[in-house]
Amino acid sequence: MKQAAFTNKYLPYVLLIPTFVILIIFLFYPAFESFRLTFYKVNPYSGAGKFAGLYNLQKIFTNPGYIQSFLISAIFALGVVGVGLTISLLLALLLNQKVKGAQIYRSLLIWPYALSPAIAGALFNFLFNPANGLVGYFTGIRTWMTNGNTALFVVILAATWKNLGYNIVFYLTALRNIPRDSLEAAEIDGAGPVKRFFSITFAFLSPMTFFLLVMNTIYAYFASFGLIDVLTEGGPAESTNILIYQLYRDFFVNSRIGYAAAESLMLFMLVVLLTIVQFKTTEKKVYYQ
Amino acid sequence: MKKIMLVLMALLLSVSFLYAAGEQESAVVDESAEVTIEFWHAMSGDRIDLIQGIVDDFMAENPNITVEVQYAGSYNDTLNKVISASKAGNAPSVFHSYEIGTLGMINSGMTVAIDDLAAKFDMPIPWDDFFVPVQSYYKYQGKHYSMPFNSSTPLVYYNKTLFEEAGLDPENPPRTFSDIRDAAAALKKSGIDTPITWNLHSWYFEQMHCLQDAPFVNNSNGRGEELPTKVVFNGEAGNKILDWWIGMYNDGLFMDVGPGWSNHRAAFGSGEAAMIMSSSSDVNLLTKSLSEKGWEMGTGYLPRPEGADGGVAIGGGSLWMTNGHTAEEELAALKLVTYISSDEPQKAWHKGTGYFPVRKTAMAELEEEGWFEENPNYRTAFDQLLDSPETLNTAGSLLGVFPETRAIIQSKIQECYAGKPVSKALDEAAAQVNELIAEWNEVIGL
Amino acid sequence: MKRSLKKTVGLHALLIFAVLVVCMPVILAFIISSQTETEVLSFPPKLTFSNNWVYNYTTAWKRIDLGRMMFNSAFIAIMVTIGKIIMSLLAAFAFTHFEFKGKQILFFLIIVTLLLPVPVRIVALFDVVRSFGWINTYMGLIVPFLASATGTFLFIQRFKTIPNELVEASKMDGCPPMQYFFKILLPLTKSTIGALVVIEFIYIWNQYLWPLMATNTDNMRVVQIGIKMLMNAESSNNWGVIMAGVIMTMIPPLLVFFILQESFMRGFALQSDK
Repeated sequence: MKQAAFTNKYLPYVLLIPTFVILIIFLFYPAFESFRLTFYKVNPYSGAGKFAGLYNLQKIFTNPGYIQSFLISAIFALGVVGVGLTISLLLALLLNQKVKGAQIYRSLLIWPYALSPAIAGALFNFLFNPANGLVGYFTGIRTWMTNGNTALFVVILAATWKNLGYNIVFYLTALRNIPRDSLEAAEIDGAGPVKRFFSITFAFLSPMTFFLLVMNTIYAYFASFGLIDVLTEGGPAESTNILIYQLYRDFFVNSRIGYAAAESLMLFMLVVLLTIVQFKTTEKKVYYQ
Repeated sequence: MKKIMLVLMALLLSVSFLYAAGEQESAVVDESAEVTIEFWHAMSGDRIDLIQGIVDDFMAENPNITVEVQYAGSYNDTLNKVISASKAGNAPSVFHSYEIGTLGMINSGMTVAIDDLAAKFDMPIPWDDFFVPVQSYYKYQGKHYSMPFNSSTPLVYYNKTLFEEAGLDPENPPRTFSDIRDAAAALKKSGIDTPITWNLHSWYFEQMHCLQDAPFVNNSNGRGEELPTKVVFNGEAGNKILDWWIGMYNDGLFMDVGPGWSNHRAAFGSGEAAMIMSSSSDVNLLTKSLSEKGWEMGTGYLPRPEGADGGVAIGGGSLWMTNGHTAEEELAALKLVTYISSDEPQKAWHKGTGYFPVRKTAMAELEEEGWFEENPNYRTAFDQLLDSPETLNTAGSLLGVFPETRAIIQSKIQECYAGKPVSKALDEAAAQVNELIAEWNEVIGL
Repeated sequence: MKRSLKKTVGLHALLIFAVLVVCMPVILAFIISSQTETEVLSFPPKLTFSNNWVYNYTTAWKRIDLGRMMFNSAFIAIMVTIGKIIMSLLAAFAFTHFEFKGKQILFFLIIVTLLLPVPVRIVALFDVVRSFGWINTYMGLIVPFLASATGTFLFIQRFKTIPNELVEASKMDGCPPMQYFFKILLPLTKSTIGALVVIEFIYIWNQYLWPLMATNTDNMRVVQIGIKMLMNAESSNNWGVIMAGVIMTMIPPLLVFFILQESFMRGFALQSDK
């Protein structure tokens, strides 16, 4: 942190009060309370509760549905990260070339960032729906959304598409920050473009790649709710039922308060893990919604 | 001056008389007071306008009552919104819930039984005029809890033109599991890719228990003194159903064309599928889409295993009233749901959707108008229901965790598509549901 | 080093191809939003514009009261964006320009909020908001989102890059902290603010889970939920109407994005500068 420029006994606290009032009431307290509820059984209508020890956590670990959802989320996240980062890196490399109209190309490639997961869900629902989806027509395969595996694939595709812009922006910034002289030095050493890419560019990009890896994982786990709700509602037969959707259903549809709280505790653990990875690998500020 | 005094006295007297008369009743309300109530329902598409029309008529008849109608999304969405609104203290006076939410709503502490309200305002509901299967579904331990509204049963729809081309008798719909199989095989032979399809939904599985007069849950199918403690769908009846279902799937006679309620309808409408199972409330929509292509449509009863002697239970939804409202609002709500279940609205509703009227008088009037002669397919769902014997099993099962149960069953059926043995899948599903039931029974008593 | 013409053409071709693929879903949606139901369902599919614009767009608009939802989303997004920027600016100023007791702990607590996205605390957040009587109100959709680490960190990063001499100079002039903040710091933070406007407006506009749970009447719903409602309400899969609704709901965040694109890019660039 920066050296103190001003001295004032009260002002810094006054400046921080609004932020901390909100944080305490709407972040720290609810988080604490959610964790507490993990150890309770709760009547969904009256809210009356009863201490239940590790009951809810034990239920989670013995529920095949939850374990399946856990695996699906992992596959989903892997897909979003793998496909998303590869494609956006390629596009960023293209955009980084000196070419006329680069600005326009950039705009046209990153704007899906401004679209919501729900919109991505609606668009892909339209493209892939079994009754009259265009992709179904052109590929001759009408079962995209009725088969569990392909439905998960479509969900990954939609989520990746929606997040391309975000990734491209970050990769572009990272590419611009690669010192010219390193590349030139390599060129003078006689390294070809391919070798140059792997020995220099790739190395410089790796912190950003780690950063995006974490961000995209978090996006896949937490921000894809609207996409799933609009595109598949977790189906067919739970094949796209990622953890966040299961949490919503258990809390809001099935009204299993304690069990849902335990699920949110699991998600919390995941964020903790990812954040540790984040700090360990990039040693940079976390960017996050 | 004297005259004025006299008039005043007379007025005073009559008012106090009225007041006294009101006193004798169980509740005192100003029947003509301006009152506004909310009504949330779960019917989409054209049905939004249909319901609005019914409510507009109601408001015209009751000028002091304003009803704010709102389409609240799917049944699940509606229920969740009502629960959260009820906790926040702004629940709608009347809301629409699916049949499987019944036990949950009874135990939720946020609803008022319609029979209690009817007694409170001395406005008895003529239950005798309701079809028995309809009103008995919503009757729990002797008391009606909600007003039956949209009622349907599952049907088999078939394309008569395609039947004929396949050499099948278009006037004689398949009735049993093996009938369906044979018909599907014949259709397949005649070049139809999808002889029969239906959406992967637990409803058919439940109804086929009713057809075998087999319970779905214990404790008198959920209607006994005690709350149900376990499901029994993994017995002989359940296995029989899925053996047939999965067998058809494996042989390519039944095709899964997608989840939800529109994909299988679309496949039928385009002629890709020759038969579907779907709700009787689709009769209007399907008749239209087939006639657009110049095809004739037939309807038949839901198929059953050979020798099964049960019947169908009703599906659909009913109208619930929530507590925490003033007597004026309660009365308005009661009047609204009573109106919606009366003859004219039910007839309009039936004609517009295919859901059948819940009352005998409405049915008789339709009969008189000659409606069913012109539209025989609208009749099938009724006949099927009236042909059903009256037992606890055909009244439909009650279960607090029904929505989750359905999700579990559907997921297991999907696993069967992928090769899991039926009996194993059903046992696993039952075990999962039983755990949920135990937890639900415990928390509901807290 | 000049590229050959061949290479340049190839590059353009590749870029144009990429743009087409990325934009395809929206282009198709736009085309479909001009077609009648029969055209949408026709086989083979019709991929050219038709003239059913008015019907589709007005139907989508009326079917779910889209106007009201657009207003709700815009109002909430604007309020949260403004509130968050103000709060993060103040917090960042405190952290970068003052020394005070408990600074480390407070900063640590801000970092901790990164571990608490909505889903992690949703079970109890719902109860908290309800206890304020804020379910189904604007308050319930705005207030819980007013503070965040993102904004604070962004501004801290920006403030750190501003040369010390500026502070020293203004201190010499006897300039009080808040005056320095408004007169000197704020004008230098414009593009970071621009970037944050884009991030926050889009984030709130696109929110789905919380508004789904925290509202329960049509007049409080936001556009994202509206998309699902429109799909449900058009039960016969009239995609022309649904896509018309989708196109309309994506316009506001896109406007914000394109107008502030430059500062958004610069705000980000700054981020990864060091």
